[in-house]
Amino acid sequence: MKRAVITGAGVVSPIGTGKEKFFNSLQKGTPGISKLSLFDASTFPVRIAGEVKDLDFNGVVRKYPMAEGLKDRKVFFGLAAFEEAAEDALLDNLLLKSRRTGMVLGLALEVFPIEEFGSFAPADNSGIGQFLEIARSKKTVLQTPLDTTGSLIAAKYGFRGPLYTNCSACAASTQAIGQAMEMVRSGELDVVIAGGMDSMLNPLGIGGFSLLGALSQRNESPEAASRPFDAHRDGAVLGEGAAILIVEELEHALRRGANIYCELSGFGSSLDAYKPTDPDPDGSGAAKAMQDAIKDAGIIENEIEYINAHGTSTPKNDEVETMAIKKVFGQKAYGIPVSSVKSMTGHLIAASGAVETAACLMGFRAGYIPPTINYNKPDVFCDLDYVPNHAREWNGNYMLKNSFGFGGQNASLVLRRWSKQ
Amino acid sequence: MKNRVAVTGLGVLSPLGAGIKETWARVIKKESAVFKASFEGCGLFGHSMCGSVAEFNPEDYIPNRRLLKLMNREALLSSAAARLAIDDAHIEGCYKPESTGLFIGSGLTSGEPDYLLPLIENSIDENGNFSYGLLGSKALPGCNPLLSFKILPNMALSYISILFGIKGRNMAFNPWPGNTLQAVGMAMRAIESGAVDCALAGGCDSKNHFIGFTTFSNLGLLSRKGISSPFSQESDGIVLSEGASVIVLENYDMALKRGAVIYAELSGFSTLTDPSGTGYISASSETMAEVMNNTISDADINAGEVDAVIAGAASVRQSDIAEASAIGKVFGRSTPLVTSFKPLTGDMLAASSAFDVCIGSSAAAKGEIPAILSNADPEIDLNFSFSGGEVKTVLINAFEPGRAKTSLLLRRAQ
Repeated sequence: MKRAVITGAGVVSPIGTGKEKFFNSLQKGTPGISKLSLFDASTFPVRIAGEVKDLDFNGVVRKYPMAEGLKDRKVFFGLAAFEEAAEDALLDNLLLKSRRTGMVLGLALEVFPIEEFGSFAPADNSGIGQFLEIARSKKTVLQTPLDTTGSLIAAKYGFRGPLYTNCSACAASTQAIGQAMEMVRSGELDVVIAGGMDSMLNPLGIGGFSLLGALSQRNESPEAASRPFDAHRDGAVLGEGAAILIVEELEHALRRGANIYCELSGFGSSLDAYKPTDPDPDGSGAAKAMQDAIKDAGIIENEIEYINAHGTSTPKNDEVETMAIKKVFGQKAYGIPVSSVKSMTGHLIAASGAVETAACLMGFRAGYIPPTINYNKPDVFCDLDYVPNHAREWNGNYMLKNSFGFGGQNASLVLRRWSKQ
Repeated sequence: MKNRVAVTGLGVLSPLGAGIKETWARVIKKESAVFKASFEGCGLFGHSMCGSVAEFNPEDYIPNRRLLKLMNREALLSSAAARLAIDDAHIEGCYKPESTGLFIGSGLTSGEPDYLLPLIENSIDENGNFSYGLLGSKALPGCNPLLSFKILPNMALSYISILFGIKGRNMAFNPWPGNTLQAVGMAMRAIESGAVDCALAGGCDSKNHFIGFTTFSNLGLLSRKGISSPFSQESDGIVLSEGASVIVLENYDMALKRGAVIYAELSGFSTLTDPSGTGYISASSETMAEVMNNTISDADINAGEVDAVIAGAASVRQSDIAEASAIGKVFGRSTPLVTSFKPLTGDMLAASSAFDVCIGSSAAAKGEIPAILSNADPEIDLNFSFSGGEVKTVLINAFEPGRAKTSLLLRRAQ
């Protein structure tokens, strides 16, 4: 079997656009959550989020004129992260056109632009029939299909390889990276552009998720709202962003002298088969994903030296994840650092797995693992070492990355320090 | 050494009815199920011709009443299709939940007009302007708190997993027919590599309503006449529809060992991207031909051995021309039978390619395939025929709309 390595990364996040800025913020433990500024949320139960503040949208449109006018922010995040990753990995046009280069992108759901539809409302309040007629007559296509980002990249670069659009909710981009690894290891592809993008920071995204009761309502102290594993956590905070990783076959990467961040050595994918809204309280689905990834990497549990958690900051999820980690690692769980990037970025839904995998690269590159910020009071049920509040020096060999999604889809990856042996 | 993959269960839910037996009988008789629909706002379009899964009672398939209330149309249709497939394969209890995979494609989000329209109405102030304030204070509090779960496109997959206890390798695909065929292809690869022993794969879509008609008519892809007649002079766009199809795939040797009835062997898969065109219709015969050729070589056979092609047959003229030319390039003088069921069902989009896998599997088992098409456009260079003899090997194309061009190859079990 061939080996898969990561040779490029691009990140757009609430704590910085571009991986250098992102790594820098992670190392400092910078909070990225603030008051929502994208629309007037003053009557909403949730008024805070992790917004991307420093992306040059016009710069993206100059490169991708066809993106002009699109209402869906995640498309721009995805394109920007792709551009950075492709440049980082020195992917030339020949490689981008090759049938042996694939793309797997993870996304969650389409944006329903309710304010656009709202603008169709008939002035005389003449009812829904009139509304439909106006909506119909606008002739604009208000939907942005989930394959739009991949489609724009394909059109610009003449991309011809397989393009997968994975909509597995919060597990989507971790699955995307796992699938990329498998297609490289099987010899089917040499290079895969893999990752995810998301933004739910629109009225129906924030509104819909706040109705579920899954979001923190700590509106008065946004920077402290996302506090995974802390006893006073009260819900997730939505964030937005994207990360693209270039997954490449090892020999192919060595031949062209590519810069190697780490090896991708294991992938696990499972389903809770429990409830659409809640994780299985016994954590067996999550444990299964971790166990499968570890087994796939050809190692034993004891060799994992860091776990990058899903860690959403909801009361239930963090407890179940902790339980699942103990299920897999037994007593050894207490000796493994576990941290959640969501404490800084918020929950990037479908993009979270890719952005957090990119955060793991900092461990191999700079020798630091990211902290869990806002961690003040230990929870009885969450009693592991969560790398509280300060990044930690790290020089281990194996990391485990978890993502567990709405609908019970779970995915885990094992990352390995790359060495020539 | 890769494992062989058997097709052992077919779950079809389409405007032609429920279950492979009923569906096959009606396809053979060339019964069309495209009719005039009556949904709110249907008068705003030139016609309301579409396919609908009529007489569908979700309670017949899904015993859990609490879940029924949460599920959207796609989730209901696909869960029912999964029930049909599992029963057809007699597979319940045969494989461990962890060794069973799940790969499901869903379509463009259509939302649930019943939920979305009141949200909009309640967000309009007295001057007729949209107000964020009202959305937050009036519209949202009155809305179903599980709104997000009615829109998330991975819910079809999630409910199938919950209802049938599937816990293994999984992935949700979106939004076009080519993406759903990728789901079947990924399931095939997962069994080939041994990642799972069994998998459910398929797709669902529902566009026979106002939002579907608006989207496709604004894209310029909706048939003006309301008739789906691929490769003919009549073809002028897509006829919308709905449905779901789920297929049970198994490790071939394990299927034999448990004495399963094997419809067909799934032996070839390829997917590529076409960078030209609009992202909806690219109409490039080169990519289509390349995908078909790759699929045929993945199955380790020659083009001459393919007896029938279930075409992508978008019924969009330039797309049909491209596919006809691609088929000509791939098969040369071997001229397989080319068919499509879209004239009968309409275009079930993300469900259509999974439907084609079901009919194709049944055809490989029976040795014949329903020939539906006729009236070729004299201006299209058709290097193939619409009728033919014995069928053992079937190629399935899912090309358009969308950039993902995917083909799959099935052959009679040996």
